[in-house]
Amino acid sequence: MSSLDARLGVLRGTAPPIPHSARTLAALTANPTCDRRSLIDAAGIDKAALAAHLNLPQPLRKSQLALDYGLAFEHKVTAQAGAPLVPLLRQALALTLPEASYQDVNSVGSDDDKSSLQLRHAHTRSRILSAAHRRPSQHRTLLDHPVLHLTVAGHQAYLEPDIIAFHRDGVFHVVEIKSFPVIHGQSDPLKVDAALTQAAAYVLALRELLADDGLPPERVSDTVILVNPRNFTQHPTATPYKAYQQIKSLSRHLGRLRRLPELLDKLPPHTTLDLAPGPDGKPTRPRGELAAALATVPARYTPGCRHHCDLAFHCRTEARNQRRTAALGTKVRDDLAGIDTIDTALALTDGQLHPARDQKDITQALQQAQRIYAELQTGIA
Amino acid sequence: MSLLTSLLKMRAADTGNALRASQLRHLHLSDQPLMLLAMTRTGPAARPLAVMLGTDPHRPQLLVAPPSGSTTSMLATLADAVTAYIDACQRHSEHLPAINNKPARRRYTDAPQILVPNPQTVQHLKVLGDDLRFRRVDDQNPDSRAVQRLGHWLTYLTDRADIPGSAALIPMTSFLSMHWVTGQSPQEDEDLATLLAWIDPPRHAASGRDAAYEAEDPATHRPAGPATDAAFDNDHLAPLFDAYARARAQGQDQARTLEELERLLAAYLHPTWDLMWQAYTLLQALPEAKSSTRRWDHERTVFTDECVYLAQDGRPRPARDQAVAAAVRLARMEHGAAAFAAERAADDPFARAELRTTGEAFGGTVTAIDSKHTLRGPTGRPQWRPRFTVSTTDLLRMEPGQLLACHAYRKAGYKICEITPADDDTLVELEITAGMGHADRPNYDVLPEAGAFLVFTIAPDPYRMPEFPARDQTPWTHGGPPADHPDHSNEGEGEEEQ
Repeated sequence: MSSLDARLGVLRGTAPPIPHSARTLAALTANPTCDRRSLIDAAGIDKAALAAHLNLPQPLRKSQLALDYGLAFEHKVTAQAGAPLVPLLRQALALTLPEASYQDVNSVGSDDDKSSLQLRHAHTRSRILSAAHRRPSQHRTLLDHPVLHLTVAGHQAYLEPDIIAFHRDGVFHVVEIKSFPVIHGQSDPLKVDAALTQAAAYVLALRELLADDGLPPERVSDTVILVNPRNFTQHPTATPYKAYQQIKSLSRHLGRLRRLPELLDKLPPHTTLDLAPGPDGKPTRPRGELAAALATVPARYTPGCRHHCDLAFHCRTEARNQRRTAALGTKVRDDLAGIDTIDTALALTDGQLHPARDQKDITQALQQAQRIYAELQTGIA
Repeated sequence: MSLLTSLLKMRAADTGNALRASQLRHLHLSDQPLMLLAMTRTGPAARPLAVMLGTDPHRPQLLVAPPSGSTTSMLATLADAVTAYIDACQRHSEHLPAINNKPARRRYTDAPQILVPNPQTVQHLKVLGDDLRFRRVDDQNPDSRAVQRLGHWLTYLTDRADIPGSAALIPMTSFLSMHWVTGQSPQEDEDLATLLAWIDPPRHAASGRDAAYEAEDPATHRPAGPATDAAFDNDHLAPLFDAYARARAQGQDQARTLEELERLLAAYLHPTWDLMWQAYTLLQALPEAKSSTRRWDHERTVFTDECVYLAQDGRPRPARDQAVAAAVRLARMEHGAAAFAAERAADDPFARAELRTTGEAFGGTVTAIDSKHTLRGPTGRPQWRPRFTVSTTDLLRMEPGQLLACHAYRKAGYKICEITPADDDTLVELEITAGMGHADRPNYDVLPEAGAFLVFTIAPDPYRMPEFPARDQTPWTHGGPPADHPDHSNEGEGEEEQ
């Protein structure tokens, strides 16, 4: 592993690594075949900094208004030792009254606002294990902002779920507080899916923690609770969701990360994405050189990348310059499966290129479409 | 989208210029549409930030919601503007004589048409409608009735927008994409500025592609909403909101901050407003497809019905449809989609070309006509069923027995009798099954001429609205009869600001 770390370190350069978070883990499932993204995330490279240095638009910049609103809602839900939360969970999970007790793991052992992640992790671990082993002195059922560990490609990533709830039957539930609304019992399915994928990371981390202590993974439920504002108010409502699909998919993608050495082997030696910050912290790496280094790691661009990757616009320019069909959308890409570039497709259509055996069918279909279109233009049809 | 569209996308990307996907406009375009741009606050659901609307390209009305506190007065102004527009459509009506089992009635000669930039705005208006139509009406406060009425209309309009072929509320990007193919991805086509740059590049641009690239420049590009982008939130809105909150806390005058906010949003929305009218002009220049008139007539019927409902009953649509209502709605959407597709195929050569590439149609030349062909009917009477043969080079994915329609003879129906593959074409023998009249009163107009090029499309299934049980007969498998008052999911919460 250390040699892998060293190689990833070379790729990253001088900057300190950025650890995986639940958000970056969720992004893994969005475009799992993109080698560029896999390597950059594994090496902990700051994509936003790369994008800024390359003068790219920043579609992923966070809106302060959105953050403030989300935070205000979360505070409202967890105010007064989780008072508004307890009745909601009691209903959603059928907790009974004496069980509800609340522990904030935001600041332990110090008066600081936030204690160190390691310390909070240690506290979380002991709380969870004592609950799991039913030590009678511990009756904690709600842990606010616990800190979990997840091993991602041999590295430890710290994850911070919003709430972990413990049920009398000995089952843990992950609770996520999200500020998108549930309107008349329905919410945006894309947002729900993103939230569940994020929660899946917490479920996996919690299972890892229990497994280390010899406890079975079923002790962590597949059912995830999302707490959202109800309708057009700020009153919270809790909805249980089955996150089985997301958990399965995320754990499969995490397993795939072991391919990293293979990916690294394909790179030319000494490839690095180092921004070479000068004494003032400003990057000094020539842009052309950085772009060339990026080009050695193949990307799999789709127009949807802009929703989850800072480098989307770089990859788009690259895909457009290489005249890849994927730049025109997944529909065009899938229609022309097996033909990667627009030039090849048009040359086959116009008969300037002889189709390979597996391109015969698609070439025939393209030529027929072209013939019909030509008839349309000349006004026959 | 078909392989033909994919091919055209590649051609457009290759040449850098958008291609026409149709020579006809398939949706009715009003002489006086209500253009509407909406912006929503980042964070809370359905809290408006601003709305720009109007029927005059040079005089848009801008409504801005205060950063905090009640939005009711802003919404009331919006309600007045929208209601005034809708009321104007009810000025004249026409008399429809009784036909079949329908009694004679009146129908308004116009219906509202609202144009918004993109499908996201439609979604935003839907959520806003969900909020407003359940607001409590307070007799002391006339604004509250106007706001509730606005909620009702928004629900009606966004509901119509779900039905293919409806022209009551149209997202401009979808309208344009129906008629042009660009060399960028469908996701990028959802951005009005770049889509329009491809279709109608400014004179100085070398190509649509260059114009789109230029239009994307973050310094000048303004998303068409309803969400604001993070940069705008952080750099412009957040400081103003803070200033507003400070002034409010210190009891100072907030008017200056509000004025500044208004100026900021006017400048933010104006580029999109101009693009909307540019798109309108482009679309207006296209000749309208024949069947679009029928669809607009239907739109007016539906609108008239809604006005009658509002005057006589006026209860809001429930928050969630009950099982029967949901099934009816789904059936309407399916019927709308099928009818729109069939009418487009009849009107538009491009739509037919697309169907030919997907195997749902074929085109060919008439080679031989057997105009005397008769069948012996079940009662022994001879039936005139003229036959003819079409030679096609299209890949045929149909079987004998398939019923067909033809754009050139709309009233006629056809059936495939025999398919004979030849060397480099396929011979299809067709029988005319409808529209030819009786043997004693034959209608010779349906006979094609030899040598004519015709396209045959799969005949749409005859539509009958399925029979649904009455509300109180809903089977237990579908939740059973609904309770008496399913409408008030908001009860006890009321309107909460902040």
